[in-house]
Amino acid sequence: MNKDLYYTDSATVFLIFCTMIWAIIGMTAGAYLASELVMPWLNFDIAEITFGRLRPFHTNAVIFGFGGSALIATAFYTVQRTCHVRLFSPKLAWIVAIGWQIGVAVGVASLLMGYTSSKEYAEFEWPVDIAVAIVWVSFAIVFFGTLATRKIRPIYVSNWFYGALIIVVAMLHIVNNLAIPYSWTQAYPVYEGAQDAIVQWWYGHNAVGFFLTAGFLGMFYYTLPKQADKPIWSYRLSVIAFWAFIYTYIWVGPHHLHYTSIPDWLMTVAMVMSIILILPSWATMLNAVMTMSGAWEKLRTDPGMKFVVVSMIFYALSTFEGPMLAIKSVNVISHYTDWTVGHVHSGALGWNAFVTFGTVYFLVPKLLGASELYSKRLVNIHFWLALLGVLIYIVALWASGVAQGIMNLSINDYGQLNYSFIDIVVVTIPYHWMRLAGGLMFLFGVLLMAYNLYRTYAASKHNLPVLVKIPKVHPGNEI
Amino acid sequence: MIKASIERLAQSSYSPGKLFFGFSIWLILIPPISAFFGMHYYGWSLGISDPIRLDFTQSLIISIFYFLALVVGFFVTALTIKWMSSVYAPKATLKDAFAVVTVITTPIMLGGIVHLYPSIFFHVIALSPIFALSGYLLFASIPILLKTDYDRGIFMGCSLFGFISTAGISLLGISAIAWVYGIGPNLGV
Amino acid sequence: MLKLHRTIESNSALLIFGILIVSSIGGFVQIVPNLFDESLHKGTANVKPYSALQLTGRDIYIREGCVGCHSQQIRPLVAEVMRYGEVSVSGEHIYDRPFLWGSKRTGPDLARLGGKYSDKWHEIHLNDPRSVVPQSIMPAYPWLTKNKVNSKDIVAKLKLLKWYGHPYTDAEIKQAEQAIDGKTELEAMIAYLQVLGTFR
Repeated sequence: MNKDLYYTDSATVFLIFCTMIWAIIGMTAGAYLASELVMPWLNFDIAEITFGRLRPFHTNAVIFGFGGSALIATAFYTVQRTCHVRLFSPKLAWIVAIGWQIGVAVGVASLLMGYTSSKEYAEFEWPVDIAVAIVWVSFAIVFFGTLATRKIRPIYVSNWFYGALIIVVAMLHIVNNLAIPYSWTQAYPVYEGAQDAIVQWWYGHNAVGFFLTAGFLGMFYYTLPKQADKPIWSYRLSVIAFWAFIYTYIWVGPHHLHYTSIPDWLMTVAMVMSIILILPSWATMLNAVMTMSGAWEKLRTDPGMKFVVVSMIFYALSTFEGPMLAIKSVNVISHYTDWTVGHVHSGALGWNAFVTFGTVYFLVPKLLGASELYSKRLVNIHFWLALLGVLIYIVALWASGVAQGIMNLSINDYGQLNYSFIDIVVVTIPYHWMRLAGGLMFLFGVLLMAYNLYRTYAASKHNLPVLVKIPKVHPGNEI
Repeated sequence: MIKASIERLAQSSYSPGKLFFGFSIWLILIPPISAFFGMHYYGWSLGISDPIRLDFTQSLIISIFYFLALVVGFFVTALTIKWMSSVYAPKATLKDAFAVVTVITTPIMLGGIVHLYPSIFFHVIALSPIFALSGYLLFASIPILLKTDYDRGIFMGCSLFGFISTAGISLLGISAIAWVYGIGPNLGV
Repeated sequence: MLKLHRTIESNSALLIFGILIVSSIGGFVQIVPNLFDESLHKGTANVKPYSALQLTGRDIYIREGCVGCHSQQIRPLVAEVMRYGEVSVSGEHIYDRPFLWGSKRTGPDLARLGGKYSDKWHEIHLNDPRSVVPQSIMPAYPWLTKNKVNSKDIVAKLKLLKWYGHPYTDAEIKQAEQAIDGKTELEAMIAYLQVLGTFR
């Protein structure tokens, strides 16, 4: 049998399995953190699970473990289908898949042990940073190698986004983590004080921009037209939105540093660019909405479709709320409060996790050669749990954030502060109970999903490995 | 029961003007008036210590702007529905769009009475089921009032849900800017 | 325009190159000029490099993830200055590697914490926060009292920082290990907390 005539999906199957494992680990940690905020005794005086150490564990496990695995899995799947060619070096693809798991696992474990660089979403210390960078370069080799050996001339829009993800995240990771080690485990960064802050939030915001947005848009631009069984509504709009998006996003980092001791012009530029960023974001959203139009009945027939549809709503919501929070006058209230945390979760749960769930539900039966999932009913229950969970979560944190923001600044008629800090802490507690409830619902939905996928796998594992023949390229599109 | 009343509304003949001035405008008055009395006589309670009370002029100004924002929101939503209907419900008219807004805003406007007791936590608890009801009405009323099929109605409902929640967030953002510029609670900025 | 794009999207090398150029501009403009902006890197009159003990405490602060809940940055807002103290300036932070400004205030800002409370208060508070602030939700850190600081890296740390330009004397570096040897992590942490905000 000539292997080159078939796609190779084994690394994708493994990575989707890891995606689910990380979802459970990362979101369980999140729920535990939410519990610690309302029941501080849950810290149990154990260093490894105190809030300060568990929080970066949670963020890194969900962003890089859950999100990263899902992105690499779908990138491998999509790039083959859109290039009509087998992955460039399936062996290296497996090394990437396993290397990524080891890198993230060692990284998050070391965070619990206290090895941290303390820069948000870049907490891993230098040995892990280097390991992750090597895996990432291997990922780039597999991905761009596949693009270079493609049989079809135009590069599909998904691949622009995956390409931007790979290139820009590599650049961000290297520049932000530049540091000189003083021991085998730890290092001091080459930037100091305000300069470090500027570099860190250039990284920090674009980790969101390119990891959690560009990458997931790549996933989305493949899944949505496939599910809807229709081409992208406007090719021209996707071109404009893509370039506008990657140009604009990179500017907005300093909006995390409004009113801090960095130069004023940086804040102003970041604020203006943040507002401009609504345009490419919403152009993408419009393109998606119009692509879905006409595929009306799919919402009933395709169990994953409703996740993708709802992910678009939260994408629109978050890409509007983000620029709004970047306006300095709004930021005065919202910064340092739960409002920001709520905003992050409306993006990360509502957009990233939803589009991932939709894509995984769509891909798994195909990857396993099954006709359909074990239970559509469980998918429906998962959908409603997740939707209700995320809504409760963000509503609770809006209320809590606004209360915190006002109380921090509120003064009475005599010009004195109205509230002490501990008042602010006490007021948030009922909302934190609510967000815990929302988060647990979301987590429970993920457990149902894992069970559903497991049963699907158990029923059809005899089909593995599923061989999918590479179709012929349309005449005229050959390279 | 709810569906039956929506269908009755769809079959009855009414003009948008009559619907608005005979019905909606009175409902839209409920939240600002409640807000005025709540803010001025009781004050906003953030959950601890004394509520923050606003003086007469401040309360009046905020209530008037609130009223205007609701009226503008009402019309903009109706126009948006008409605009969206070109994709989702080609048979719908502007009159139908007004009917949809009327249906979905009715519980919210009636719920505006909670502003009489302006505590943030109370609002979250009391308004959540009201918004859930409005969400249900949104999806239930679109296929009937806009004369479109069930599947398209769901899509349109989702799009509108996105639009309305974005509008809601921008209201929050505009409020924040207003607070910072001295309208509302006394902030040391 | 679209024709140009057809060329770009038919050639993976062009696409990679295009992405790299377009996405670098913003970062380049925001980061590079600031490297040469004197005002951003010039210290205040009072700024001093952290002593061996303070630096050790700072690294424990980093290890425990305190930055996840406590900011160290006072914004130029009336209420914030009243609540926490004088506005933060960049010159106070020139010996901060990494910076610890934070992004969330689950607990209060600590930029001007130094001198606000006694060492004893910090000792009790870190061991059992709820014994001094009953409604506090901060975790307790009893192991800081039990653990002795790790003194074996301190010379390497100071040498590296000196290489970065922090003005440590050779004598300070030589005595560093001795200076912190036998101290508990709690003592180091308190030394750091007490120096916070005294550099303005």
